[in-house]
Amino acid sequence: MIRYVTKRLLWMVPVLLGVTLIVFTLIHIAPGDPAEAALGFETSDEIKAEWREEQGLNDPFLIQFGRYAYRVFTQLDFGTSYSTRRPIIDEIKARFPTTVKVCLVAVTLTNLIGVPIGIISAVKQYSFTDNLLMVLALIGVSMPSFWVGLMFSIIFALHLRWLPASGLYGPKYYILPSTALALVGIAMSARMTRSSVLDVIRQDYITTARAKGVAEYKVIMKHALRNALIPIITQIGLSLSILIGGAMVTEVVFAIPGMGTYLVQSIRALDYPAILGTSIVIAFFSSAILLLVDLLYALVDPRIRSQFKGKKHLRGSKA
Amino acid sequence: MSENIFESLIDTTKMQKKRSLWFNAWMRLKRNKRAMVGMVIVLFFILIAVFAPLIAPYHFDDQELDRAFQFPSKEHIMGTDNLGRDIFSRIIYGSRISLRLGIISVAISTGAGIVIGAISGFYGGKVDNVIMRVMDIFQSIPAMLLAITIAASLGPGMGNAMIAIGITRTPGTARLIRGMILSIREMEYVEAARAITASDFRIIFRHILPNTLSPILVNVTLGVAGAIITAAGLSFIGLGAQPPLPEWGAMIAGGRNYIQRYWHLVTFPGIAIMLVVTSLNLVGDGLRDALDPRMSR
Repeated sequence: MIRYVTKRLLWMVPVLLGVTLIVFTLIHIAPGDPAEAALGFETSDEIKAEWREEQGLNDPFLIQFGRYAYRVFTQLDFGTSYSTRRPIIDEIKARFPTTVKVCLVAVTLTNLIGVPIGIISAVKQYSFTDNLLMVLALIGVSMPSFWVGLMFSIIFALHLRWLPASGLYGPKYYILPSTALALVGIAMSARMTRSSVLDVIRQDYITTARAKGVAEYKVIMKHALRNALIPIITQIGLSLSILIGGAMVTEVVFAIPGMGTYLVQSIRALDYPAILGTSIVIAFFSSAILLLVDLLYALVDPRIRSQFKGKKHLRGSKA
Repeated sequence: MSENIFESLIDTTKMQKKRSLWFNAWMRLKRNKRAMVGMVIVLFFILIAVFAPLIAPYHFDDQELDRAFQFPSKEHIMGTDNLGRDIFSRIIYGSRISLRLGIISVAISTGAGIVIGAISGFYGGKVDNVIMRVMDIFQSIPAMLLAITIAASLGPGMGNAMIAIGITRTPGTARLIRGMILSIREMEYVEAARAITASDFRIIFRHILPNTLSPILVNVTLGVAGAIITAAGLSFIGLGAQPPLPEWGAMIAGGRNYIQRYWHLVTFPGIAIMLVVTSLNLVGDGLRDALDPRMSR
């Protein structure tokens, strides 16, 4: 187990470096002159050239990347924002907890509601309930969460006046954005849970259990669900990763001062260091979650642990 | 005369053989009511997209400020927007954009995914390891965030949005193809092809890939659905289609500031997205069940 955990933790290093490299490269190839974006149009060419030299923008790409990665990993220094001139890490620190809270509420709702729906649907496969729930879930995964957010604010905030439509001044303000995000999440999680449980129900040992006369609820609770737990856990991590992505756009709808709103603002202002920093922090966060899920996975599934007792580990395809 | 009969006999046996697998799948698909409903709606939207100029009562950029913000009426069945443009007509033209965005992005990701997945799965070993680890890294970034970042770095516009979505979807497709190829690679008929010294290229394209067609087809259908949603998100934050193009996500973004009084600006484009994506998902789910009856769920 320790072996697996160490291995998985060490794998985080290339992942984080790789993520940084991907995002850094993307922002690097972006058109536009950073000096102009940072200093404004009217600045003279000499000052711009000086600034570029000072910022190290004339150095080779890999040196620039190395310097950036070094600062990020050792001092959490993402540079200074072009538009506010403040260190980006401060801007992120002010917004990151908000996004995490929105996502955590959403992911909790998603799994508390989505997983049971999936289980019910699978157990009662092809029944009226199953058909109804799955059609609803299908419609649910087919809506953009930002649009669900807009519909929610039209109905619940502007017409019924139950909840605030935008901003973030208290717990009440989390309800609409988180449920809007969760609605799509619930639908996704219900569909995935249903198919994981059905996969297990088709296995021979379930037939065996039924054949030897185990009560149906016991077959489901003890034999099926326990084994379906593993794919369900993976999908909790996956849903969080998808929710974080959705939150980027949904935050904008509700004018929540989180990472998504900041990212979109920075894109509009062509504030490249801010885009870079925000994307990297969110990507790190989501890789950390995937790591956590993998570790949890190993804790639950003895088959994975045993893989690492041997001399060489064979990674199966995780798809 | 006798030759003719002989030939036609061969022809019919050939035809039966050829159509059996796909024909059976089609029969199964036809029995699936949900998939058929989805298919009808998808075809309906394709027709709308093709004949948009004939169907739409107005042009998508016909502005008339004195009729702005009209609620749905006989003249404008979905009302008009802040610039007095007919929302119904814009949605009709928008189906062209959304379908094109979805199809081209998935074409990009499928093409790239097939090449990467085929190399990875077929050669295995170190090549496979490196490629798959790189895919892992890409997949550890939330898809929407990656699409936003790529689109932001390339700049706003439809073409860039397609590239962004295409790249974002590639790792998933590559992984799917690789998995299929890993299992097919060891089949006897591949060994037979190798025994008669067929080139790697020929083995991959003639013997292996045709057998991965059905999962690819499912992946493409569901992929177009997903890509349309992502594209709408990109346009919503100003990165995809640019005004005055009536992309549905961009229409929602345009109507967003007026929701306090005019609900219809954002509601109808969203319903259009929902309809198209739901139907594509229905078809995709149906195809999956039809092409692989064992996996029927």
